[in-house]
Amino acid sequence: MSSPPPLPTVVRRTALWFALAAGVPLSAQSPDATVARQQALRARADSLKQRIDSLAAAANETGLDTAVVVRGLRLRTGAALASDAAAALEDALTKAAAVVGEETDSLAPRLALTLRERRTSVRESYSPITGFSVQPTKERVTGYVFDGMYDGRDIPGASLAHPLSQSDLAKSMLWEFERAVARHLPVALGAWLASRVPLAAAPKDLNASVYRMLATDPAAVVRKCAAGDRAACRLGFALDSLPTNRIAAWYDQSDLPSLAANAGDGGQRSWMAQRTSRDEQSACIERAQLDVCRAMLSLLPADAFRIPMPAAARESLMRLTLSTGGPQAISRLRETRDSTVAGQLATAAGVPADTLIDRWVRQVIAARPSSPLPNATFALASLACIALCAAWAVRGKPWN
Amino acid sequence: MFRAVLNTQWKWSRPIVLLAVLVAGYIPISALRAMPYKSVDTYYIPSLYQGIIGASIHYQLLALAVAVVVAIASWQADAHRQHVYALSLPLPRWRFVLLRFGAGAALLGAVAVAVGLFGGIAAAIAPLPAMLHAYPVGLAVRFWLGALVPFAMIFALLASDPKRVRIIVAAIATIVAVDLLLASVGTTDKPLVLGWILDGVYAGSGPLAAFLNRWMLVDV
Repeated sequence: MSSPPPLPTVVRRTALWFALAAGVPLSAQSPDATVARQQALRARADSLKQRIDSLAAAANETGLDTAVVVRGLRLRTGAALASDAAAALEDALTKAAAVVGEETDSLAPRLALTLRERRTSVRESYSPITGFSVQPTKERVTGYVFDGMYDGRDIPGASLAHPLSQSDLAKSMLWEFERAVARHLPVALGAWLASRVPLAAAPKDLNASVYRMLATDPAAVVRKCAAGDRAACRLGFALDSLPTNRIAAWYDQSDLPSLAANAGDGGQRSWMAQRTSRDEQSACIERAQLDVCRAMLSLLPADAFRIPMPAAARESLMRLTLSTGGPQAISRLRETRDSTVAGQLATAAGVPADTLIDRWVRQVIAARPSSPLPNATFALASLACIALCAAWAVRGKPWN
Repeated sequence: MFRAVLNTQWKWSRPIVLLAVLVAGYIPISALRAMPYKSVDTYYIPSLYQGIIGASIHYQLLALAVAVVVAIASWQADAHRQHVYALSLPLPRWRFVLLRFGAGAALLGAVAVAVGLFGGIAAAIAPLPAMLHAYPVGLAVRFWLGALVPFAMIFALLASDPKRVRIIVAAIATIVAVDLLLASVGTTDKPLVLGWILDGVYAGSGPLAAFLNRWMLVDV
């Protein structure tokens, strides 16, 4: 077993000075009295900490006096919110069941939700800048906090606006359920899906915005996918495996200057910047000298280049997988032993991965936004407004 | 008669309309020429797209500016001369106002045509990637409709009875002030009337909703 690393000299010296400073008054007392005093102080500190913990726990429990249970899913909230919460939960679970079928009943009991009011009040205060006093207001509900746990582990919650809308609440509940389903899947697939399995109805223009994203993506492989190249889609989605040379596999020459400017997280970029001169950075990013770009990018670790296909595209492919596979798709996905994402999706959908990709590409290309000519509603609304203003102008008498 | 009114208004608005035509020619050039990397002979699509999004904001500002100035120019000379010229014309007042309105709309239409023409020429010259397409006609129509709405609003305001305008503006200002006051003391959660006004003007198919969308010369 290795010993702990030694403390830095500065820390040791500081600690010594503090010990000496504290030791002067303590040395005047007898050793027994000092020990007793230390023990009393420690006991006092421990009891205060316990008190803080118990008060925090009590504060967390405040207002959670009613439990709502739907399909085994338990939600704790206040009595005033119980009926709205029950209706929203029923709505969310019905929508979830439409996609994941019987899995809903096995997942629901493992999820625990809380919905509490957020109350705030304004304290009396005086502003020397404006010269006005702010009058205190009574405590009132200004919002709602929604939290969830799956198998005892936290799931990111949500803040909801006041007054509470039942549809917003149902959306938040479905969102929690989407995260719970993702935890139910193989870990790699959960990460590929950004920890969320889409269960809510897709936004009307999801595929149109996916097409726009793909067609203008920084990675060449994604743009080729938008043009209908199936192999590029497989590569861009990393459906089979992550390529050994990610830059060569995913990007074209013309992508490199932008990639050198944007790849990796802040720490990785800063590390790369420390190891290259300003001239080199400028040569790559501004003058597009590709050899310099390649040298800069070789400084970054492989994980700086993440799967280039946007999360919305992965969501869209997962939606197609679930709709193709039907309500049993999630069960098959959970039980599959295939290690590649392509194999897992194919098992869930019940069709070969290539067929699934071809369908998805056709669907996205078909959703390509049309000409940006103003639509009829907009044109009519504009013309109505113009006619109204013209009518108002005709009745005017500016010489009055 | 329309030609006479158009001529008069053209004389008053000529500097701004000519300037707008020049700017309409410059926007697509500046958006399209800086895109290719010097050592690579093709456009880098994400940069090109960002440039076009930037140009979209410039088109919106141009539409707003030219609409405001043309609307003001429509009435400024009349207001200077106490409306004597307008009242001495042998035609009904409503017809005269509509002629002025039509002349303003025509001048904005000329700028919109310039937007479409210059945009179309620039896009035809630029080696656009296969994934992107130019929409100069769509842009010109959007520009014209987008400019006509603020033009109509300001035109109507300037052509109205000043007393009535003052009353309406004062009423709206009072309602908004009370609304803000109620929200600040906590009687309401947020300024409701202001929210309705902004929603009505900008949301969905509101009259100024066009300014929230992108006016793209080149798109997917």
